[in-house]
Amino acid sequence: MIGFLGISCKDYLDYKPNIKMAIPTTLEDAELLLNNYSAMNTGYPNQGEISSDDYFLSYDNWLAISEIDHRNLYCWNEAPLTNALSWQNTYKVVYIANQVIELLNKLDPTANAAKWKQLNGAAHFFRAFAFQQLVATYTVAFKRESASTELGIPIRVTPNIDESTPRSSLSASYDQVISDFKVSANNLPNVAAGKSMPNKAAAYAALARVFLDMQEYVQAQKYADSALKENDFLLDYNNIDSDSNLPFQRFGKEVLFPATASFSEAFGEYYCLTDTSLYALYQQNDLRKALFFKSSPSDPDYTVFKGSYDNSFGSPFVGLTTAEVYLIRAECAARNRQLDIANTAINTLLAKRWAKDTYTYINEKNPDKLLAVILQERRKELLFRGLRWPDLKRLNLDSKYQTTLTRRLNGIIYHLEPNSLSYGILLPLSAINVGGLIQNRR
Amino acid sequence: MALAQHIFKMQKFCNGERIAFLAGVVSEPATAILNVFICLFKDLKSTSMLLTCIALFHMFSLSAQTPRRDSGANGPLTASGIVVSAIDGKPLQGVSVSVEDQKGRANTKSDGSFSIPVTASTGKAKFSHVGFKPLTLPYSAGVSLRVKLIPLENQLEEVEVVSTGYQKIPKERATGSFEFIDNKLLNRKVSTDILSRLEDIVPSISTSKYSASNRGKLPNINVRGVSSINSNIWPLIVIDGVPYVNNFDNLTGYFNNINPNDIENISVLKDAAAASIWGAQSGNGVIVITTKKGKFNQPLQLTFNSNLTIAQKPDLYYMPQMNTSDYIDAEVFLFSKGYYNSNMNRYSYNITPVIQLLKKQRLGQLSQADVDAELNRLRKIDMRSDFLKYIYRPAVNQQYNMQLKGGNEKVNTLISLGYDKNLKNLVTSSYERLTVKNNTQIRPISKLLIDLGITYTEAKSRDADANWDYNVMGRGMGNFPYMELADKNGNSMVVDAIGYNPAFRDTVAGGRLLDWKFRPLDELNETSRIGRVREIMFNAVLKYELLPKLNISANYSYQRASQPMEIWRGLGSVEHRATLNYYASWDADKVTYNLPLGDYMNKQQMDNTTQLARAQVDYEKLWGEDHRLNMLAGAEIRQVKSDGTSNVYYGYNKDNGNFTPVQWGKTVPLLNGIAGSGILRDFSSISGFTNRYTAIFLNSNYAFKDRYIVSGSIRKDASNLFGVKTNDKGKPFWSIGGSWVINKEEFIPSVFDLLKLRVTYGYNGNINNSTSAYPIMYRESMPHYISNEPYGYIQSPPNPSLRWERIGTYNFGLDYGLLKNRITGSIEYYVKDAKDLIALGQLDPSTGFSAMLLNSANIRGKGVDLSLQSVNIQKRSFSWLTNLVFSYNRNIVKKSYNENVLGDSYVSTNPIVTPFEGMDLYSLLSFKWAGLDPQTGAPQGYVDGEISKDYITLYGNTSVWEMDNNGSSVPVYFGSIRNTFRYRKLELSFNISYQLGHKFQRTSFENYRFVSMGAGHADFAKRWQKPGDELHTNVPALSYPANMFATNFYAFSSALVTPADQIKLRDLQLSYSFGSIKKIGIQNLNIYGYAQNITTLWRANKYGIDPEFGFNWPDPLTISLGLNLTLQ
Repeated sequence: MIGFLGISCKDYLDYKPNIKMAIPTTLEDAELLLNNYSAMNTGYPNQGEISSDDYFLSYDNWLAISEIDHRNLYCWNEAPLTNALSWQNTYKVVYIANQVIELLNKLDPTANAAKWKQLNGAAHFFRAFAFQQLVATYTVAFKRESASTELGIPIRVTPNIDESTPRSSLSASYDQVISDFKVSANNLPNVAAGKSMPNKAAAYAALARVFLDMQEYVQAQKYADSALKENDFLLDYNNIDSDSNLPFQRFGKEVLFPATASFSEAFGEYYCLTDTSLYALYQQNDLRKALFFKSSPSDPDYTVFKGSYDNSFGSPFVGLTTAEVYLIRAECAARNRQLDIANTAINTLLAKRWAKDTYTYINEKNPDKLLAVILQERRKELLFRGLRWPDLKRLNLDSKYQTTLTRRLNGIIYHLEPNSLSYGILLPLSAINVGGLIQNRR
Repeated sequence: MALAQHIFKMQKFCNGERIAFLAGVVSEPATAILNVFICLFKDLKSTSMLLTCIALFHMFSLSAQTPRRDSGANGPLTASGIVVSAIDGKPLQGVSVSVEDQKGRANTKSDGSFSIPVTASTGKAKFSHVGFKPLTLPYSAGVSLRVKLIPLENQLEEVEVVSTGYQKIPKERATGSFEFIDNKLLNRKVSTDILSRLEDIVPSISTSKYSASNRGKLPNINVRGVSSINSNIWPLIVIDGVPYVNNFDNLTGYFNNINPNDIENISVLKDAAAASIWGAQSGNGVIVITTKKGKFNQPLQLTFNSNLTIAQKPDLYYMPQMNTSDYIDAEVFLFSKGYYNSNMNRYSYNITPVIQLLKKQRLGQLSQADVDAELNRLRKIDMRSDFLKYIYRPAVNQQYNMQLKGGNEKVNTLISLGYDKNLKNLVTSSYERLTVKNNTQIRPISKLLIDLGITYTEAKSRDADANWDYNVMGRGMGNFPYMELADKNGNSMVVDAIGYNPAFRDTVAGGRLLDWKFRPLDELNETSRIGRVREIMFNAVLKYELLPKLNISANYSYQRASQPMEIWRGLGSVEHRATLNYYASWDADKVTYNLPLGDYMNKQQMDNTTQLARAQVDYEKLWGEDHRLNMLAGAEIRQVKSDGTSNVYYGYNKDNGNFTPVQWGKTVPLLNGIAGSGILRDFSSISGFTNRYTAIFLNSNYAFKDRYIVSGSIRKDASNLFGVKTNDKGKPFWSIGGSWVINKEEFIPSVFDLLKLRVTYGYNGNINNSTSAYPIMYRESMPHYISNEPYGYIQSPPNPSLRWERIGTYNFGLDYGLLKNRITGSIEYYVKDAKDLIALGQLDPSTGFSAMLLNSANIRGKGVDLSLQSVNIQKRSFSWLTNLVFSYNRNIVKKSYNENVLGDSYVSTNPIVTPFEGMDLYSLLSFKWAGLDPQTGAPQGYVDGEISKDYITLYGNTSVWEMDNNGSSVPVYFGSIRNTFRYRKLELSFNISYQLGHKFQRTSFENYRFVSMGAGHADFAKRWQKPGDELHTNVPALSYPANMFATNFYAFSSALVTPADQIKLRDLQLSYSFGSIKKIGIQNLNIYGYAQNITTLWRANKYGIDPEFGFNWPDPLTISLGLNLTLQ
């Protein structure tokens, strides 16, 4: 009688309880995991953008923001971060990338070499992108002389949950980002495997972004060149409908890699007001004036940013675009005294941004003046991109470009001095309490 | 097949015809039986004929053989003969034979023969034997009698027998802990479902009612508290030996398919020895349901039961709704502070009528006087009157059940037909259930018993797909109290309680979109959610007596439930119109609907199939008079399979079934681009689940002189757990036990009719299948809503050290009966040691996860179950019985992985698990309260012992050890007292239930929730308004901006901790039995009335809150009337 159980009892119990379930073992599984747009391409840190000067809030609207962290960050109040979600989301990207890398290492790379390389490249790209976003938010500016002693972020390179990982030095953090992006550049195909996936151009663009943050302008320019060699497409803003509430389509052709930061009410259509001095920089025939801004629905005296490449309000686009690469090339060339390259780069971009036949080409021979022009164009092009905060950190290191930020709330003025320790956002409470990480200095 | 030859003929006069009834043929037993019964049914009026028929059966029972003279009749006189069973003619051993008026007594030998000395040559001899009808016969000395005893299955059942699902044990020989609920007690209550009838009648069962959405869908009962943290916490339900699958679809509540009228009795298995036979699923206790069956040699009997239950409308005035005038004042206050300045222009923000008025006033469109007049009109409105008038009704439940049963010596059958129709409180909700059941037992040859059961259930539940409940409809908790559903004449009104700004709704696309107004009363029936359950359960048991005392049995059971569900939203529903509008695009010339115009239909189909096969050997051995050994061994295999599909149709036409294809995957502008763009997503899906189980088991029981009993059981279980090492798929469980029937010892005074000590220890387990040793990915059925690409995700991180939860249980029990069983009952004490429990441990967010399930906690549960029945008065015409049920249960956490954890995760208005060393598993934790700031009315707590208003630290950074631990949030002591009075044929009983020793977190006005979502609370009226108020109130001042942390701190502070103890008069039953009215063939007629949720006799809190129901309204009073008729 026990016999009837004996009929391959083991096989009987090996049956999968849920058809949707799998222990990831194949390239297809790896691809499905990386394809999870919500997990891999959204939810990056927004604390830097909330703290920076692309926008301001009225006192009433500031009060009406429900997330207390966001209210505190707005005026650089040194309160600990209570919500760890965007930190955790970003490390979730690291976890999945690590899981995929571990899986790929167990598979034969030659069985389907193209797919294996693409996924290996993508996994390294995602991990590096996540680390880079964390570094840009939670650490102070990179300075070659102090980077090895300055605090970086925890560098997790295995999927093991029970491993405790302390914060690395800032230089080690940047080294990891660079080496991962380099692996991805060597592995990724020229054409992305899907809408949410990076390609080779994205990896070069990302390297250019990292080296720019490190003020390694030669390297940055080199990778900007590599990226543009892969893809130099720019949208002609003349072809875009400025009446539209959200003029730019998601996954547009300028986008090398799509990603967004976590949502904040502060960026909402009805809260966020564009910094007036920033808005004043746009000239009459600059199409960005009408494509990026509309009159604020809650206060017609001001404007609100509607130029998101994610086609949405609230969650800033923090991915990579060709326009950003042009600006990196222009800036680096100017700094590296390659003025022709710099002039051409900025002209190529702006010609697509101005109304047809109205743009006057720049031919600036003074490197400092040219750099100032390019930096101003960078400011005008790359707002609400998660780039202002790292740019402030980097530029504040140079006394010529230092900025003191101010906020006004109910008559009280707040200041953020250049090179303040507050540029390294405080880590979330639970990372300190549960993870035992060292908190940023104040 | 030999079976087919065993045709028995049932003599029956049906229009003079004689019907041969073939019951042994397995192919179509149900239809055949049905036919016969239809025929029988017609004739029932001629009851006397039936009696004749029964008399015929009885003719077999006894026939004294022709007397035979003994030669040499001079010696001492003896009466002798042989006793056999009337069923199979087999000799009966141990039948007690006595002769009237004489002292002689004898027992029959193994060949059934007896011989007894007598003094008179003729007289009467009495024969009695357990399980057989006693018989008195005339004897003549020297004439050998052949006596046939008729087995009385009836009597066997009436001996208190507990069923483990695998075997029936006389309670006398059991060592484990059982509760037995007989038919009468089960039927004291009136209900549609069976599980609610277990409440308040036996110790150790507790019911939780605080989650309104779970009720009627999850079992919601616990046996001896909870000894698991994250794994399944419900007891296993077993029907006629087959585990009843209840875990796949919580939403339709499978257990509702069981018709209580079909249930004979229920055994609750509480300790490890009782439950371990069920292995891995038994850790939470087992509820063994035995359904009604026919009996051999039983005359036909027709029973009819019907009742009507009416429940009052819910008491909405119980709810702490904010006073309307206060609500308006608070809105005016927020408006003046500028809270709505940007929001009131937001297209996606719905603003209340009051804010609309104030906005118009600010824009100069309305005068101050107009606004004031309208505000004053609104101040007089309380939305609850409209909800009671239009949304709720008294619930009406009708129940009908008819049963016909009967049997001869070879076959018996029972057929039952039940119909329930419930009109629920919500005007759009109803439930219907039809059950048909047949059980047939056949004994074609004496050694073989075939038991065939088949049950068909068809249930239909109907609800609106939209939410109509108070505080759920529209803005939910944020509904403004001046909401009006209808005008004075009862005409439906537009209610501004759905998405989007009214100014936007009415003007967007030049008003060319579908009407965007919400008129609740017009669209009550414009959506529907119709769920059906069609379930068939088939159960076949073959029992064969291989050798005397050695039985083998095989069991096969098949259960199949088909559950179609239709979710429909017509164009009459604003929700559907809003969806179509959202996906519409337009230009100056035309509006394009990217989702087709027409209705929405989602057809879902879920099919569950369960199969079980079991083979079992039962063995009994007796050595002499003193030793008795019972053994049972077996193996079983079970598969539970569930497949689901869901299809979505747009542009659906109800009348002809047409629909319009949608270009799924296409990117379209949302609100013409105002809300960006989105992908048209197909929500169709396919799912499939399969659970497989195997088990082998051995169970034995040895009794010496029926006085010293030891028992043991072992079982090895395995299942197709995913993502664990093969070795971990199975786990052995075992138990041992002993009992001592002390009252059989001579030194025990005769005042004890029963005194029995029981001790058991057993070892049990549980595993959580939501966690695994390897990373498990799920492949999402639908492409991603943004990228439109297929994807997968990892829900929880892998845990390589995953192990089974282990639960060791000691049980000590004492059963007693005193004073000729005037006082009976039992006392039990138990200790449950649960180790390696899977609990959520907080993780460093740098892992990418905030928490994971770990084998991290140990819990020790202790408790006492006490039951006592006292026959206070027992007279011919009057009796008074008292039943006392008392339980004590506490579960203390002995070990937990995470000691330094922030308290904000462990506060709730409903009981939640607090896995911290030394605490009750369900503890009520609250923030230490330091009163209100006398200057501002702001809440205050303590940080490092100092009074503080640092709310982020107070709420977000206070560890559980710095909080007040108010003790258990679930009842520590609970039970009931039932008194039953009988005066002649009138019986009255009422149940008083009590829950004591626990606390709850009361709700109050939450500043932040009022500001952010408009959720008010009556406590607003008690808020701090001026210095000095802090002396008599704890409700903070209304403040703006609202601090979420301050609000949460107050909401979960000790200021709102309230004792939850209460004593209720739960129910009352009154019944009158007319007894038998022979003239019209009535064997018994019983009418009854039943009232439930009568009143609260005492409660510890003075706020009028019934903590049993969380923050929902308490169950309303229900009144039932019914009758029960038996014809024979």
